[in-house]
This record gives sequence, C-alpha cells and structure tokens, in this order.
Amino acid sequence: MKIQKVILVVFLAVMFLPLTSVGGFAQVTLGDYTLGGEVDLGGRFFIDAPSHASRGYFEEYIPYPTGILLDQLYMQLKNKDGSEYYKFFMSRPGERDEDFLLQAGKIGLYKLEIEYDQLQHLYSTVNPTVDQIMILEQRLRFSGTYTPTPDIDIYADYQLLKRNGEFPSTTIVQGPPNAYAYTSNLQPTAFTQNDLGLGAEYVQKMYQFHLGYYLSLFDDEFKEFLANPASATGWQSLAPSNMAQYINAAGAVNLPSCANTRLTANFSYGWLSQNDPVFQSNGSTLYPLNFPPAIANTPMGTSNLSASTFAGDLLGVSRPTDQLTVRYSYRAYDFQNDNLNNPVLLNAFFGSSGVNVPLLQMEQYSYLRQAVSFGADYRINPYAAVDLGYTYDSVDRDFNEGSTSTNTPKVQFRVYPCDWLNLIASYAYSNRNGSNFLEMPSPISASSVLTYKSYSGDDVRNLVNFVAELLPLNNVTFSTNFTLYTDSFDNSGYGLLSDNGWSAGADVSWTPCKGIAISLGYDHEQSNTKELADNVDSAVLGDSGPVLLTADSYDTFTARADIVLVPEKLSLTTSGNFSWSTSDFHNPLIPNLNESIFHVDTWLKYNYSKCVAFKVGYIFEQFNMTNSYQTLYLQGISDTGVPVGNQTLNTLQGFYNNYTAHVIEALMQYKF
Amino acid sequence: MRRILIFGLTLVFLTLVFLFSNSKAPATDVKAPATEAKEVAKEYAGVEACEACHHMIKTGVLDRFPKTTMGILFLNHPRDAAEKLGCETCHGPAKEHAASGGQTFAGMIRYTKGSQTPVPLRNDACLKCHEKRERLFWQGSAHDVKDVGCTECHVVHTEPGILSRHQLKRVTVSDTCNVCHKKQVSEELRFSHHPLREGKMECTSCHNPHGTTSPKLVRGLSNKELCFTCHAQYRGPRIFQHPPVMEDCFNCHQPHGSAYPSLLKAPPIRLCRECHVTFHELSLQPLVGGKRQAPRPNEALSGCLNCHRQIHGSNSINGNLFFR
Repeated sequence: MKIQKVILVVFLAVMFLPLTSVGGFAQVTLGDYTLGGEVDLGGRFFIDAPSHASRGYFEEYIPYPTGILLDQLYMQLKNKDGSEYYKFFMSRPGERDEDFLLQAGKIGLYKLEIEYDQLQHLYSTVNPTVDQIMILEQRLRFSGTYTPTPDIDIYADYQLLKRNGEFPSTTIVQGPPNAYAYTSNLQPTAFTQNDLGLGAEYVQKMYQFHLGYYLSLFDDEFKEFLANPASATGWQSLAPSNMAQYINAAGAVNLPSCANTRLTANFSYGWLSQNDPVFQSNGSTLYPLNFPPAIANTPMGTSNLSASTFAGDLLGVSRPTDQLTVRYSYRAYDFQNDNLNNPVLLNAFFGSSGVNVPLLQMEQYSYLRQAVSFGADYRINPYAAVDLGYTYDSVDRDFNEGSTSTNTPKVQFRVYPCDWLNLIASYAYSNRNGSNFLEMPSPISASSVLTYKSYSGDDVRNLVNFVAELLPLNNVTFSTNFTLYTDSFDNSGYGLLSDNGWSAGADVSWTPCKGIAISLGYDHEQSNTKELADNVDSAVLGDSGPVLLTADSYDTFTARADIVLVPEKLSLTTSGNFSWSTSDFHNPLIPNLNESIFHVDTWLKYNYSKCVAFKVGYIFEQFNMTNSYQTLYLQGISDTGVPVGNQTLNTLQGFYNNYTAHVIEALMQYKF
Repeated sequence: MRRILIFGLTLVFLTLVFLFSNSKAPATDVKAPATEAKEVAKEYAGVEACEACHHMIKTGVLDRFPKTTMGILFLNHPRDAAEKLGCETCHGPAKEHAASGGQTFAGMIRYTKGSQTPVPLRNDACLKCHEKRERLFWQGSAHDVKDVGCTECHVVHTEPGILSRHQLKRVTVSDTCNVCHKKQVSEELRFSHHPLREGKMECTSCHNPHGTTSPKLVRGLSNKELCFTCHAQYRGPRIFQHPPVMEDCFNCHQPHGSAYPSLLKAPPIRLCRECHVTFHELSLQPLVGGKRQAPRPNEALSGCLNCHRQIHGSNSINGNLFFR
C-alpha cells in the first residue's frame, strides 16, 4: 500500500511541478468542458514522535504516518456555464483514513455521488504480542437524486458498511464467592451492513408529499467465539445477523387562509427480524434435543425473532399575526414485540417450574411512547419576545412493566434592548412520575427474578439557561452562557438520588483590522451525582452500602487566529484547544480520574503565484491521564484488595498511554 | 388498538393532504399564469437592471453569483417562471428599488446584517423552492422557532469550495454548528468521542438541523434507530434483551463525548446501579458495623461489564445474565 502511495505522489508531482512557473491558472479546456482543480502534496515528519505503545489514542481514528503525503486532490470537469459537472475528490489515499468521492450532475436535473472512505478504531497498541488491536471500517456509498421537474424528486441511496478486526474483551474465570479473576481475549469482528433507501417526493407550493422505503441488512460472519479456552462452556454469542425494513410516508400542507397554518404528518412502519442460529455455552450450534415436555417438538436451530415499530407524527404551526407563532404536535412511537410464543424463547426461559413468564415478559415487552406538545412564541415588541411551551410525554409498557409520564412546562424570554445586545433566558421544569412498576420483594434473594428495580425513580428537574450576546463594536462579538440543572429523584430507595450541575462559558471574536481575526473561548462544566448503593447481603433493602458521590468537572479553552502577514502572499492560521477533566469518586481506594488533551494546529501559507502555494504546518498534541485507568482496569483484585497481576489485554477501550507529539507537515498546493 | 389509532390519525391527515391538493380552493399567493406574467412586468426589474448597478456597487457579487449553483440555474437554465426572475427570485420585486436608484428597498427581501426583513420572511424565500426532503419539517422546528435564518449557516453568492458540500458559510459543519452549540462541540474533546474532531463524522451525521419529527433534531424515528444506522449489531431482536437497549441507547450513552469509555454517561458500576440491586458485594473488604466501606477498585469503571460482556443482549441459549 505504501509503495502505491509513493508511486501516486511521485506521478502527481511529475505531472504538476513543471506547471508551477505558470503565472495564472493552468485550466485545461477539453472541447466544451474545462478541467480545473487543486492538489495538496508534500511530506510529514515528527519532531517528537510518540512511541508505538503510546500512539493508541493519538491515532484512535486516523493514522499519522510519516513520509510522502498526498493530503488531497480535487478535480472538476464542467461545461462552459457550469451546469454539467464531474468532480473527483480524494484525501490521504493509501492510508487507513482514505476518502474518495466522485460526483456527477446537471444542476436542476440530477446528481450522483459515489464515495468510498475508511476509518480505523484503534483500541490498543500496548499489547506485547498483538501490534495493534483495531477495527477497520470501510464504507462505500452511492446516492442519486433525479429531479425531472422542479416538483418531483426521486432518490436512491445505497451504503455498504464493513467492519473487520478485533475488539478487546474479558471473561470471568473466577468469581463469587471467591476472588474475581478475568481472562482477556480478542473478540473477532466481521460485520457487513447493506443499507438501501428509495424514495420520491412530489412538491407543490401548497403541499408536499414524500414516500420512502429503507432496507438494512446486517450480517455478522462470526456468530460465536471461544472467550475462555480453559472452560468447556467458555463460548460467547456474538451479534446476530438481522434485518430491518421501514416504509415512510410524510406530507405537509400549507393553509395560508387559515391563520397561516402549516400541517405536517409523518408515518413509519418498520419490521425487525433475526433468524440466526442459537448457541449454547459449549459452542454447539445444535439446539439441544432434550426439550422440556411443555415445548417439545418445536423447531430447532434458529431463533426466528421479530418485532415491529409504528411511528406517527402530527405537527402544526400557525402564524395568525406577525407577532405570534403557535405550534402543536402529537407523536406516537409503538414498539411491538412479537416473540412471547417463540419456542426458542420459551425454552430459554424454561426453569425448574416451567417457563419463567415474569422474566420473559420483563425482557420481551412492548411499549408505546406518546408526546403532546404546545407552544406559543409572541413577539411583544421589537425589543422583546416570549415563548411558552408545554410537553407531556408518556411511556406505557405491557405486562405491568411500568409506565412513566413527564410534564414539562417551559418559558423563554428573548430581549433585544439595543442593536448590540441580545439576551436569551429560559427555564424548564420537568416532573417525571412512574407507576405500575414491579415491586422489589423483601427480603430479596438471588433467585428472585426481580434483579432490578426497573425504574430509576420519580424525577423533578429544573433547568435554567442564559445566553448573552454583545456586539459592542462592529469588529467585536462577545457571548456568554450559563446553564444550571438539578435532578432530584424522589422515592428512590437506592440508585441515583440526585444529579446537579452547571456550566458557564464565554467567548470573544475580534477583527482588529482587515486580515486579522482572533477568537478565544472558555467554558467550564460541573456535575455532581449522589447515589445510594445497595446489595442483597443483608436480604433487606436499605442503606447497606456506602453513598457514592461523583463529581465531574470539564474545562475547555479554545483559541483561533487568522492573520494575513503579507497581503495576498503570506498568511498564518493557528487554532488550538485545551480540554481537561477530573472525575472525583470521593473514595480513598479510587484515585481521581484526570484527563487532558492539548491540540495546536498552525499553518503558514505562502502564495507563490495564483496557482501555486506552499504550506508549512506544525501540529502539537499532548494527552495525559492519571494512571487510574491502568490501576482500575489492568489489575485483578484478590479478596483482600491486592492486585493479582496484570492482564495483558483490556476491557473496553481505556488502555491508552500518555503521549506528546510534534508533527511537521509541508505541502505544495497547486490550483489548476 | 393503538396501532389502529396511530395509523388512522395519519391516514386521515394524509387523505386531507391529498384532497387539499386536488381542490381548487384559492390561496392568497397563487396566481393565474397570465396574471403572474403581468405582475412580473409591473413589479420586477429584471436581471439586467440589477447588473446595471451592482457590478459597480458591490464588486464581486455579480462575478461570483453566475458560478454558483443557483446562479447557473437562474441565469442560464431556469425551469419555471420563478427561476427566470434571477436575483429577484430570492430578493423579491425590485422595480421600485431600481427606479429610486437604490434609495428604497420597499417590497424587497434583504439578508444582510441589520436587515429589516423579518427572518421568517427571509426563510420563506428559500423555502419556496427548498421545502422538501430534509426541509420538510423546518417550520416549527427548534431553529425556526428561534428565528435562525438560512443565511446564518449558508451562503448563496459564493461558489462552493472543495470541502463545502452544502454552500456552508464556514469550512466544516462542526464550525458552522459551533457558533451556537459550543457545549456540544467542546464535549467532543473528551476522552471517549465519536470521530468528529478527526473529521470523519459531522454533526449532520446524526442531526438534521432543518427539522425532524424526533426530539433534538435527531435523524431517524428515535434515538435507537439513529444509532442502529451505523451500529446495527445492537439492533436485535435477541433471545435475551436488555430493556434499556430496547428503548433508548441514551439511557446509558452520552453521544457527544464522555470522560468514561464507550461514551458511557457514568462509570459502569455507578450506571448499572441506577437500576440494579447487586448480588455482588460492593467491596471484598470485611464489613465494618454492617456497612461496606468502599467499592472494589476495579469495579469503578468497567466493573459489571467485565463479566456481563454481552450487555446489549445475547443470542446464546445460556445468555440470560449476558455473560455469553
């Protein structure tokens, strides 16, 4: 791959470099068409490169290889008036984040796009035996829109998404009542997803109508994997292949003679299905023959599960006067589970006394979510406006799995006292109530199906927002914002009791003269949660555990400067951000979790001629986190709290090392 | 029953739309073709009149405009009477403006800073042609209600650059959204994040800023349908299902960025305990006065998921606790 890249870059350099002495644009005319574009190529090297083991987070999504670099190439072929065009764009070919885009179209008639791009998700580079633990995502996308007349649109979209690689995972090898110990493994991943969308739209000034169909096929090459080779039952199932289809109809009508009203409706119906093989923990793909008598003679081998969704929306907006806007909506989302009589499920939930119906219903219920909202925005005078809103939403679950309802009134004021000051303040009160949730029995036991309380508790939320924008001078913009929220979970015996937080920020932009623009910003966010932990050791619900307090704080500083050093010749662009966070667990055994990332991107651009420019960039990035991750993830803990040894692989994605990187990029930009 | 309700409501409305579309009810702004042509002659100045002054007054606008998408369409390939109006398609009738030598803007729609044209009126000019596809639900949407003008994010008089695929005012979508949504953009700088700051995703990958039926301008029928667009491995259905996954991914995940792995809202040990009574001791330290002293260290961040690996659901016959 690297050889291909070198050949490509050399070819482009040989092709374009002789043209650098050309004073003007080197556009090429091909009959009635004109070829133009731009290419950025050069090289990249590190002044200070992170070690391989430290590059995990630095290159989490995009790689930073050194050497010859083709940053981007853009070519455009268009006819004389520009109404027909063919465009090609590519960036970083040969790299894992390469992107190729081809567009063709005739303005007002059709547009076609084909795009291929890649993305890596690098999970770890610290493992001594596996160089890089990562998943490569490849995406191929086609889309086309045809507009035979201004009032008809026909479109088709297709996307092929592939994910291949390995994911770090763990499996428990020793657990309660003994010490916990885990073994780590690599979970194989080979996903293929095919998505197809088709639709048409008919548009008139007074109404619009849309009809669409969407099909998504997900296929997983690996259905199971041996997570713990030391155990005969160490197999884990992986994501099953599945299919989803949706049909969608939407329409809107304008009623100017009826208080300038616009009504919109949307309806979707979806089918979800899955028919993958069912596995046992011993890795066998054959379904056991010893079915319980109650469900004997049932089909074996595949799950044959399905579900469906209905979604309906009615929305309206009326503007009876220039000052008043009224909006109203109703939304329903119905998830229908169709699997309660599925023989595989009946078997899976079969216990010593037959099918455990409560547990089956707990996982395979249907629910209906509805929301009604009203709002009115009234412009009192040119200097002030008020917006009042109210939303009621509810979730109803089958089989007494609980219902919740939430009332949310809110008010917003917008004040424009003068032409250099805008003030926006809003307040929302939200009250969530639950009912019909299953009660936790007392005393609770390990054999109880009610392993969870189903509901995190009634919640009263207050939310305040304030934004002020100041434009004291023509060349200065200043804004500040403040947010405060409080969540109080009433009647919550344990779990989350409260969640409070606030954030504040300010930013300023200044253009002191033509050619210089500077902006600075800072914001701080703080959240504090209080949770009462519980367990069943005492067989009694209550305060048998410690109160868990967590305080998270986040600070972000951003800066940007665009400076023209020599008009039309030399310019400097620099941007940077510094973000740091602290999670304080208020626990002597758990260190604070501190993270920070500092990124600076600076580019100096010299325009040699109209078609040639040289750019030199300096990229600095520094990432630091306390060793909490390593402490918390890597160590198996004995029953006395003593680390039992490092695990070579990691759970989740928290195994990145700190790094500092200084990168230099030099590019030649040629416009043709 | 509830399906019938939803279906019925929607069907009624769509029927209403259909009937309305076939009705001959007069609408205030619908004109007969002949009348329309007469109106044009009376009120509109024509492209030539605009060119006569504006190539001198505002250098560059009339050089750039013919190269833009709308310039090419309106000036060279108009498909209907409205597009033939050129500049006045968007700026409204300007005959009076031209006759006054630019002294008055009566009846015109202006988009410049300090314009007296109300934002909804400015947006109406765009929606005349663009109220379809992604803009179908613009009216009443969060941005419409807050008087966000189309031209606050988009430019018309500039030829799209290499990266700008939607005539955006700024280079990227994130830059465009960052003007107002600084909190969400700064959340992307947290440890666990989607690849937005690396430029491999955009805000519009998940949100439709022009209006949706879902809350928070989220694309898709609901949050979970949005997530399943890329993460279809969690879509199911499965034999053993974790109810929060069935209802809303955001029960556990914070999509804009998190200090905790996998975009979790909180460390798993704390997150799981919001709903679960644990059968495992919080600490393997001995009880002191009947109270646990502290969580085990390695439970703090990834704890429960160390064992309950298939927490999104399991397709194993032995996967009832999401171990397998």
